[in-house]
Amino acid sequence: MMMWMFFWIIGKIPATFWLVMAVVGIALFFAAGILGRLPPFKAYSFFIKPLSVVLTVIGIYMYGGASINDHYQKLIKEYEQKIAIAEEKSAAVNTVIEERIKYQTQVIRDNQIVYQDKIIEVATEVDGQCKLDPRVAEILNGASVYPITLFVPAADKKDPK
Amino acid sequence: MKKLLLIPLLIVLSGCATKVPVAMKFPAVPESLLTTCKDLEQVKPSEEQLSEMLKVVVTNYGQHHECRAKVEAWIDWYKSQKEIHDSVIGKRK
Repeated sequence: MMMWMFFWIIGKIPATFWLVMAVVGIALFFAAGILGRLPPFKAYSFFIKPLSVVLTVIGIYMYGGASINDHYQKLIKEYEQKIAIAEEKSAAVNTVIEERIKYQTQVIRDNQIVYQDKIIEVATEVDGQCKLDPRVAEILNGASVYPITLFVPAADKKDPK
Repeated sequence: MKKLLLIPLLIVLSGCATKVPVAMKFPAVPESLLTTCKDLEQVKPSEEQLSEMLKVVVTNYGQHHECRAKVEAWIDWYKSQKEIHDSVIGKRK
């Protein structure tokens, strides 16, 4: 929980803060060098120098981390936007295909009705000229059966008893 | 000692290898494409009239045409969805 809080707070700090911190660290380092030459401030420079180095290192390190984080956040937003657009396009494609299939099915069925009507028109004449041999139905029905049977594993073929 | 310094370096670099946590959902398929093609109709074995046989043949042609339309729709669906997917993820060789 504490770690999560820590990272949450770190994440909220802008990258420029760390850059400023690093710059301040460098400035402090040079200031400490100048102040060290003045006798009244010599004692302070002894503490300021290591502190400025620590500030600079932490500032640079965190600036790098924050920059990477910003980069990833930008990438995430970019991808999320692209995905949202893609999902919209995908839904639009589905609508177009669905409408097209509906229209095509209707055209096919209407066409079928036209031909069924034509058969009715000539039925008496055609039936009077020809009588079907029972083998015709047998051949036609045999050819109409879908020849590909679904693959059934050998274990399932056993008698369930 | 020098090798020990590599450990924090590796930890720092591992952050750069993190994947962007964004996933793209598999596109939905129109419901009408998820039904299989019907079995073909059969002529009654005792049928003697040619017109009745013709009716069955015409019905079966219609079923074939419906099935063909569905297959063409599947091909178009796949091509369109792939194009959309590639526009987001990028083409992979």
